[in-house]
Amino acid sequence: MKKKILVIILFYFCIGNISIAQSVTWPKESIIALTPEWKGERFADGRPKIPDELLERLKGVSMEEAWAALRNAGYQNQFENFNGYAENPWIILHPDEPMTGRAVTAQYIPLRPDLQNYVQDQGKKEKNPLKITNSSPINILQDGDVYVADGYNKIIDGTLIGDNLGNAIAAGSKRGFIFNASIRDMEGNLKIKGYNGWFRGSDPSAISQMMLSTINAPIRIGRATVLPGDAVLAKNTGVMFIPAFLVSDLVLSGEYTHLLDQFTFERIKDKKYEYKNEGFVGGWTEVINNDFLNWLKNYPTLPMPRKDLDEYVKAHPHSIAGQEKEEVPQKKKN
Amino acid sequence: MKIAGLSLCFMFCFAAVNAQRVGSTPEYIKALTSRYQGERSADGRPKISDDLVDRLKNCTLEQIWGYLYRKGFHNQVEKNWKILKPGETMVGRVVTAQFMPARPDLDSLVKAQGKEEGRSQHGGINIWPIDILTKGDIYVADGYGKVKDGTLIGSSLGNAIYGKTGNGVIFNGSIRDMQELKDTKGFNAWIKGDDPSYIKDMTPTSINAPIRIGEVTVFPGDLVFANDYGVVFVPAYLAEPLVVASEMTGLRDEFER
Repeated sequence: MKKKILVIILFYFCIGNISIAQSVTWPKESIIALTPEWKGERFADGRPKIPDELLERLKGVSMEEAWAALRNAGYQNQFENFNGYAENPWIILHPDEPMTGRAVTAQYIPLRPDLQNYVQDQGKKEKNPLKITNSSPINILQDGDVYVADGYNKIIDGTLIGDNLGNAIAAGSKRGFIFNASIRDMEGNLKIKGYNGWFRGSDPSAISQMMLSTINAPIRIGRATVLPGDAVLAKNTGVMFIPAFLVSDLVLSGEYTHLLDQFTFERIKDKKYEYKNEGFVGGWTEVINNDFLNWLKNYPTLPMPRKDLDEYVKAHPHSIAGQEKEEVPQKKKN
Repeated sequence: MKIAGLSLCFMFCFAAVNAQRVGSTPEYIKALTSRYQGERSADGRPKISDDLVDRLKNCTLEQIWGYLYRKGFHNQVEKNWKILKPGETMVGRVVTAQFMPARPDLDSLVKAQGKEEGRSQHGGINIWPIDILTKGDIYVADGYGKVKDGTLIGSSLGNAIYGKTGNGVIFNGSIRDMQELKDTKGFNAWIKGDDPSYIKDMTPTSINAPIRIGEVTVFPGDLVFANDYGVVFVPAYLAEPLVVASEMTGLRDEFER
């Protein structure tokens, strides 16, 4: 008898859960389902915990290096600068300070009273102590997060934060924000230390006729789709959203490319080898390759651990001019 | 044995809780539109009677806007359209779809989840929203204003849509085959642009969830009214009183003239 009741209770509990399947704050399980390729540690909310050390190194990676690594992995829609086609390119609080961090996402949508009722009811079911407002995503920020929000490029009445919430973002994330929307109190926001922001406009109006619909769901920032837990690479040239599982390889390959470029620039400058048409005359010879490996060996302060570099070089040997392997047609497998 | 059954049941429930669906459940749509008390389709959408839909056709954009504004709905009208066949009015019940820029990790989840929901495994997944259309529906999709490589349908899908709904489409996005679609009698399209290119690099991430069309948040089961001057989305629970009030306003105006 007791067991039967238990089964019935369990069943009702489950039905209840199915019916509320559309969350305001996406639960841990949904975020894990979005990011199954991440094998490392996770936060309590399910987001991948990309190591701080990698996020720090990511700052040194150029947009082009990141772009190339993402393209090779099949990710073609991860960058946005709104230049050349959109009305409001990024405004940046401190353009000379790059920012990296882990994305917390929020979706804003034009206000509809019936949707607002649903979101507030659902917010209570998800045990939010307060009403769901534009403070809600900020309340959950942790050290190393970046607050990424889509406010559909609304500028007038589309100010997602003023300087009070700006201070709250700075205190919570120690990083900053990326908004497809506007901010108010630009002057006050500029004075906040250790904090940066990318946004599309500044306006004195207060947020109006818009509402928060989801936290930590996939969102769109212009041409890019952003998932919770993505690594954010924000610079004065634009913003890249990097799937967490790709960050480690992307940083290492970016750093390696950077070293390779540096070596090439030095040899162009000291004219040790003749350089024409974007390449050394005669190609990347054994002599040049040994010179490069030696140069790497004596490099004073590598961005990556020496062991990681050695493994990378071993796994990605430079093809030597004249020694390219002939492509052997693969035998058909039966 | 019983324990096995119990844990199976539990696992099933757990899986159901984990998954954010592509297509909204009837329960979710009902929760969104809880103020609507009338008939519903099997998918949970409010099913406003054909008679009322027809009567909405005689209203003006201003009458509809005015009623919604008084009810606290200030963001229901979207302007700036390219219209396939101007001069016509189109009304119907909304089916929504959200498209996003493709991303391999999200795409694989959408494909797996769509398969779980029994959606078509042949052809592109961009036809999933079209598969569920019924008579009197209007297919409303957010293609985030993408025009080149953002063409959500061409003439064959356009004809399929007309065959199923007897109506056309409203896209924050683009279409191809304008020339052929112009010849499809009864079909019309409110779009942001057109282009000869194919759809590329776009994924439908949700069907019958709330979406944004420009300045408007659109629900599945909304009643939509589209003419030369704009497109307005009417919450289902307000459809009947709105039509009656607009008809009264019309009669009063006629009397005064």
